[in-house]
Amino acid sequence: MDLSRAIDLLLAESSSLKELAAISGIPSAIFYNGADLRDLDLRDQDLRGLNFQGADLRGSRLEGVLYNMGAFNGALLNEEFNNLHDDYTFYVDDMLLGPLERFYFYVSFRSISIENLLAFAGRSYAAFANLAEIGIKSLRRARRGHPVSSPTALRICRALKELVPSDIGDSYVKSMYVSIFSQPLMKFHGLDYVRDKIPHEIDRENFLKLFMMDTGWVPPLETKARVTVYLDESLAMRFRSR
Amino acid sequence: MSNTARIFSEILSIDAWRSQASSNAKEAKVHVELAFHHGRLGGDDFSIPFTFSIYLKRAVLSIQVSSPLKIDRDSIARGVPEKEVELTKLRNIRESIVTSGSGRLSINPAIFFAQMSGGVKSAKEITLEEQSKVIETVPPILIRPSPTGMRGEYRWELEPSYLPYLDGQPWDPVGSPRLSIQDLTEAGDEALVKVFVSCKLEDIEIKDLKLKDGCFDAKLSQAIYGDMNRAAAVQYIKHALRYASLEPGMLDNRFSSVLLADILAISG
Repeated sequence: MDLSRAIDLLLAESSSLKELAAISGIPSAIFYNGADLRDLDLRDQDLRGLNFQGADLRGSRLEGVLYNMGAFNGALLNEEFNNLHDDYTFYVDDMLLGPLERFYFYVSFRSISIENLLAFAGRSYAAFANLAEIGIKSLRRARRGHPVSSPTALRICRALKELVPSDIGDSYVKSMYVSIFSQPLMKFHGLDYVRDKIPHEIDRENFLKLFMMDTGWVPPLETKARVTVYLDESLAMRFRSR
Repeated sequence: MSNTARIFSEILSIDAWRSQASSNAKEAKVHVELAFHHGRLGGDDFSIPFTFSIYLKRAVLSIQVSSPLKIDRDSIARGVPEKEVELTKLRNIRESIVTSGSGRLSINPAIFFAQMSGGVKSAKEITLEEQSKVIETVPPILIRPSPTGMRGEYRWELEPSYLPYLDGQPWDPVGSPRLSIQDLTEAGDEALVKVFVSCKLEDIEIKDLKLKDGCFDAKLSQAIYGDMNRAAAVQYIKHALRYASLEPGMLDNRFSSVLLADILAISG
C-alpha cells in the first residue's frame, strides 16, 4: 500500500480537483467516487472528466462549475444545486457488463450524446447504424432519447466503444470520449412501458446487485417487486403478444 | 482467507463458527460475532507517514454456503427492529436528519429524539432523560435483511440509528445465530461457509489526518494544507485501503465496494 502519494496531494500547490485527481495516479473519472467533499468552495472550477457518483458535496459551493452532464448523479448536493442532477444513471459499461441478452427491458439515451459522439468521430448515421447492426429508425429513436429495446441499446453501446481509437493520447480527444463513457448516459425502464403505462425506472443499485450476485441467475417472479428487473426474454415475448 | 482483517481490524472484529443443533445432526447454526469500533490507523506502521481516524457509516454482512449445504430459509435471522414498519420509520428519521443537515452536522440521540417527536422541540431543548429514552428504546444499529435471491447466499445491511457511525455489536452472537444450514453430509466440514463484511467507498469516513512527527522536517508537518488538498489526500487513502483489501481478480472499479473482512465459519 503506497501512501506516499497522499503526501504529494497534501503538498500540491493546486486547489483544482481536476489537477489533484491527475496527481493521484488513479483514473480521474473514478477518483472522486464516494469522496467526502463537504464544505468546499468549488466555484468556477473545471470539473469536466470527473465523476461524483456516491460523493458527498453537501455544504460545498458549486456556482459556475463546468461539468459533464450526469457527473453529479448519485451524489449528495445542497438543494440549491439540484439542477446539476438529471435522471440518467446507467453507464455504457453497465450495459456491457454481463449476458444482458437474457434480459429484456427498455433503455433511453441522453439526447444529443450519441449525435455529439458521431459528429466528433466523423461517422454518418447510416455508417454507425451499419456498424451497430441496427436499423436507421432504431438509431433515430435512440439519438432522440426515445426508449429502445435492450438488445438495440446493447448493440449501440458496443458500437460506441468501437469508435474509440486505440490511441487516444491527445487530451482534447480523450476528454471527449471520457465525457461519454465515464458519465451516466442511459435510463433503464421496465416492461411496463410496453403495456402503455408510465414506464417505471429501474434502479441502478438493484440492477448491479443482480449482476454481482451471479450473472447466470434469472430472478424468479416472486422477487419482481424487490429487484425490479425480473425480465427474461420469454416473459417479454409473452407480454408483447398480448 | 486474506489479509483484509488485518487492515481493517482496528475498526472491525469478526469471528464466525458453526454449532451443531442437538436435535438434528444434519443441521448446524451459523453464528457471527461482529463488533465495530472507531480506530486510528498508521500509528504502528512505519510505512505510513501519517495517522488518521477511520469510521464506518454502513456495512453489509454476507454469508455464502457452498453446496451440498443449504440455507434453511425459516432459520434466517430477521431485521432489528423486527417489524418492517418500525425499521422503515427509524431509517426515515435518520435519512431526514442526514439529508436536511448540510455539511458537518453530525447525528446524536438529542437530534434523533427531536426528529422522532415531530420536530416540536429543537435538539438543544431535549433533556438528558429524553436522550436516554432514545438510547434505551432504539437499537443503535439497524439491521435490514437483504435477500440476494440466491439459494446459497444471504445478506444483512447494517447502519447506525442515532449515532453517526457503526459502533458496538449489532446482535448477540451466541443467542442470535444468523441462519441454519442443512444437509450436512459426513464430509460436512469440508463444505465451506464463508462470511464477508463489505461496504462502499462512501461508507468509510476518514478524519483527523495528521503527519507523524519525525517523518518530515518541522516546517512540513506544521504546514497548513488547503481543504481541497486534504479532501483529495483522504480520498486517495480510501482508494489505497480498498485496493489493499481486494483479492487478485476482484479489481473492478465500477462498484466501488470495499471488502472489510472475510472469514470461514468452522465447527466451534
